[in-house]
Amino acid sequence: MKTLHKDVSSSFTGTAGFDATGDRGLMPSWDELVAEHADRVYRLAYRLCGNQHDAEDLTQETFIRVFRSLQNYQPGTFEGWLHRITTNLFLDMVRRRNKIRMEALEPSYERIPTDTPDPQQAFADANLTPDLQSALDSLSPEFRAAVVLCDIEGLSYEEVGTTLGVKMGTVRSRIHRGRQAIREHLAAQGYTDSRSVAVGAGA
Amino acid sequence: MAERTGKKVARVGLDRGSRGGRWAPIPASITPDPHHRLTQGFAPTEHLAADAVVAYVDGVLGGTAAARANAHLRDCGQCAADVDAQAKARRALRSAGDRVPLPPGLLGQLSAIPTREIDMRAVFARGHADRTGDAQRRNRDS
Repeated sequence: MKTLHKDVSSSFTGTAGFDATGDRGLMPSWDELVAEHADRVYRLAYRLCGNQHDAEDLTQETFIRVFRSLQNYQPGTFEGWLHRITTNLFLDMVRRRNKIRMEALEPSYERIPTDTPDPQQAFADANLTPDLQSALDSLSPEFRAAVVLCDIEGLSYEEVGTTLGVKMGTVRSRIHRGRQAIREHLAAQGYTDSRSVAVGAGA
Repeated sequence: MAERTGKKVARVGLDRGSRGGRWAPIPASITPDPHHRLTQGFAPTEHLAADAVVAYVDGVLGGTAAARANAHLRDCGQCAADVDAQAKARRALRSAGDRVPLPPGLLGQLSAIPTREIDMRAVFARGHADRTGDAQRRNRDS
């Protein structure tokens, strides 16, 4: 949303052209659409899932859903639509797994084995300290989604509420409890007040 | 305020003056004044609500509410610590950077979705026809 209005000409390229005019002729080709939004969707998926394997699956599921529903998409905010699909598919995925886990009575099950087992590499790629990502991972999915949408994606409370389908008060209380748990998790890892937890501190 | 609450309050003032003591008991003429507490500071049991703390940290609390929160935070260490923890978590997340490069090959798989979807529809349609055929055959055989 913010990046698409740098100047008049760029605001009418890509899916923003359709959002602004409602003209289906301005909807980009599938390849253009993927190129425009894949980075954003994958980043959100990665922050939500916490690992590359699940994030790839979630990204693919999201774009499959986009492909199937594109004809019914009404002009609005394409990014917001993508946020909603990604987040809801993520929450569905988590609920499905919890169900499987309960049915299988397998409490030690953590997550689907990944074919990219190198956490150091994942950290270097993702540029979020492992402690911070593990703090995010420690949150329950609903709280994680609220914090990720607000503090990583930079959405307003209203946008977070629309994405998650919850009221403003719920958004704020989830953000509050999410941040609180992150702070406690980081404190337990030995981060003190004077030591910055951020790689790119000062940004 | 005296005008609004009527004669009784006015009499309280007079009685108070005549007796010289501030809290002289005057039965039935003392009623709770709902505006009275507003002129005092926060009671120690009152704290900022969680959603107010979040909004304060995100800088979206309105002018009056922000001023009230500031006044409270000057006196209340518990809420100040809450705000501090929220701000630190927020800063850690927001300054963490957002470079998450796409894994190689993913873009290609995403581009191929239309082809795969069309293929799958064909497979599904064929599978459906096969299953229907099987069922019909089973029904015939039995």
